[in-house]
Amino acid sequence: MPDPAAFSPLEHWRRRTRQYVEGLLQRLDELSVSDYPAATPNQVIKFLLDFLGVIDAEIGKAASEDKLRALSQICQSLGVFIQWLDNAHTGQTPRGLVQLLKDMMNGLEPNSRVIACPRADEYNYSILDLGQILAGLVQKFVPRSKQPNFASHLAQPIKLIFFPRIERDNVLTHAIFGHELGHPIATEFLNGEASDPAFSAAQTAIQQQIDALVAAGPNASTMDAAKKLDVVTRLLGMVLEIRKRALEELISDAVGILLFGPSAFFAMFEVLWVGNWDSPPKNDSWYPPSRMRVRLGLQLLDDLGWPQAMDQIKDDPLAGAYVMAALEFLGEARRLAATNPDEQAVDGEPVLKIAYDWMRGSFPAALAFSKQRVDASSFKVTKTVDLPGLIERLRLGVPPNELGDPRNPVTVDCRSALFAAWVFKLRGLSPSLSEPLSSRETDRLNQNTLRAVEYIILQDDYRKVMAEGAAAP
Amino acid sequence: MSTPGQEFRDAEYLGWDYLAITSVELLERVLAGQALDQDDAHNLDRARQFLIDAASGAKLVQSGVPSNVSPVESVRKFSYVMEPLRLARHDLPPPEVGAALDRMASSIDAAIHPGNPPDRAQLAFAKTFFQYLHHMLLDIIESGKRRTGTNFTFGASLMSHA
Repeated sequence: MPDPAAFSPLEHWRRRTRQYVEGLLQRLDELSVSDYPAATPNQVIKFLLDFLGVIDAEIGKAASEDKLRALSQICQSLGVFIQWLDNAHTGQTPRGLVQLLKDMMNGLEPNSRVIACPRADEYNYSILDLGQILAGLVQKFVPRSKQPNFASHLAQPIKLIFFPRIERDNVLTHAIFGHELGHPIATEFLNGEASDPAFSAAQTAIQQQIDALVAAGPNASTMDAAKKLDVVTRLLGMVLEIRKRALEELISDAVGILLFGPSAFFAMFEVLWVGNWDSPPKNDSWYPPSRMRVRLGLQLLDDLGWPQAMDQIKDDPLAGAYVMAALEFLGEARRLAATNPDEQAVDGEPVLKIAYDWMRGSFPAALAFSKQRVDASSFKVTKTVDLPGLIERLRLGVPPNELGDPRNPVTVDCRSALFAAWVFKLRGLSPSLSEPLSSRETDRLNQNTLRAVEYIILQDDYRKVMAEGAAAP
Repeated sequence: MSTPGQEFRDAEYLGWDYLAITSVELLERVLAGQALDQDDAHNLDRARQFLIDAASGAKLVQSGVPSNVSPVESVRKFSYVMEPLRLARHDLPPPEVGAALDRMASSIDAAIHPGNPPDRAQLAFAKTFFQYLHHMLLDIIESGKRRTGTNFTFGASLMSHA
């Protein structure tokens, strides 16, 4: 029997590892009483409590410091959930935003749950497949016999959506979430490539190109077999990752435009404008050059007929001047996209060229896949007819949520409200003063647009409830 | 706009590290003649699959032969196993790296499915390999972290992402 008074390093580190679990449990307990816009954060808290129960059991069984060390690392990494949940409460995340995102997600992945979370540490819009992350935690760290206990937690998709905290109220830029909703579509396309013979053949061709590149390199003659293997592995891994990331971003841009129309393009352009249009893809984010993204976005808008549809209402007495401003904005984007220093930078670097030549060959199929995949949820160009009436409402300072006879108004699509707000903003003119749009008026525009989104979703929910009531026996 | 955050990448490394250290413990028990329960067998099967995926990466890198495994995944796993393999066996010729991974996977498969006795030398080699893999992954995980102090500089990371 071991002497309980003797110092046992293993037991010391076991107690230390348990402290991490205790810290997490206490923080989760504090967070469980927060006011969240929906039930999902509390469902995630419930998952974490169950997961920590398993981790605690593993800590109890651990027979080595190495095992306890690994369990400590896992507990420390779970701290990020505290940060996410801390920011997901109503004070930081408007309910209307969560509702809009949930609505859009449900069109693509039914029964989706959404957590929206502002971030102050970086300016980034992103989406994490939280359901997949939680499933990964179960698969990697929960003993097989206990995994069925987590099935109910993982039954529905959960998306964790980040946005810059300073943009919380800038609902127009939230049209960029269309891009975020595109990432799962991009993943579907990329996963589907596994069964494509052309993809298999391309891998062989790319490996040969990399082999040839290394063989032609300045150090080739002095490189031993082990070094050559290292270099080829690294470069092939880079090409695969660069191509994958390019397709992820470009497919997502396309889906954003398919789902939100020109609003997604305007929002993307504003976000990209802050950076360098021609930065080549860089380790380890590998974003495609911004100018390339603008070029492909414009091609898609043209392909879908948006500029042509907008051109048809440029003489409208109410909306014409606003639509002209939006078309001029697109004209600016075209001038930017017409030159190609971005392509030259990519093609001037051998590894980037290999990856991007491959990507360019794959993109048409990716675009066709995206169009077919989101067709039922896409924002149709015929909605341009909503613009004049909605812009008139914005000129009057009224939320752009409905059109027509006030005694029997027709609720519009959320995305028509966003589109009208963008076109109104791009003109940059205060309607009452005929002076440049002030910051205060831009704020009011955002408030009215968010109200419109909330009214539209409420109206839609009310209609569904009434329809279910009428259908009930 | 979306690139896998550091927290997501860390989760991947942590998962492999946990698998590596669990595999070391389980292989010790197999070599000591101790029985495995179903959870243990499942974990060793995951270790076997990890080795097979890495071997697929080796075949793609060395010969351009694709497999059913995502090439991004298989090449990534292969890139992580090379260093531990070399540490476990200094004189392993590069062309035999894939075969070495396959042999370890086969020995683990035999240990999970009683029938043919497993190759004890290969199991011992696999245990050493996973030990080195654990240490390497721990280094990677720690290298991405600041434990004390800060390196904040205003403007250094001012990149906006869409």
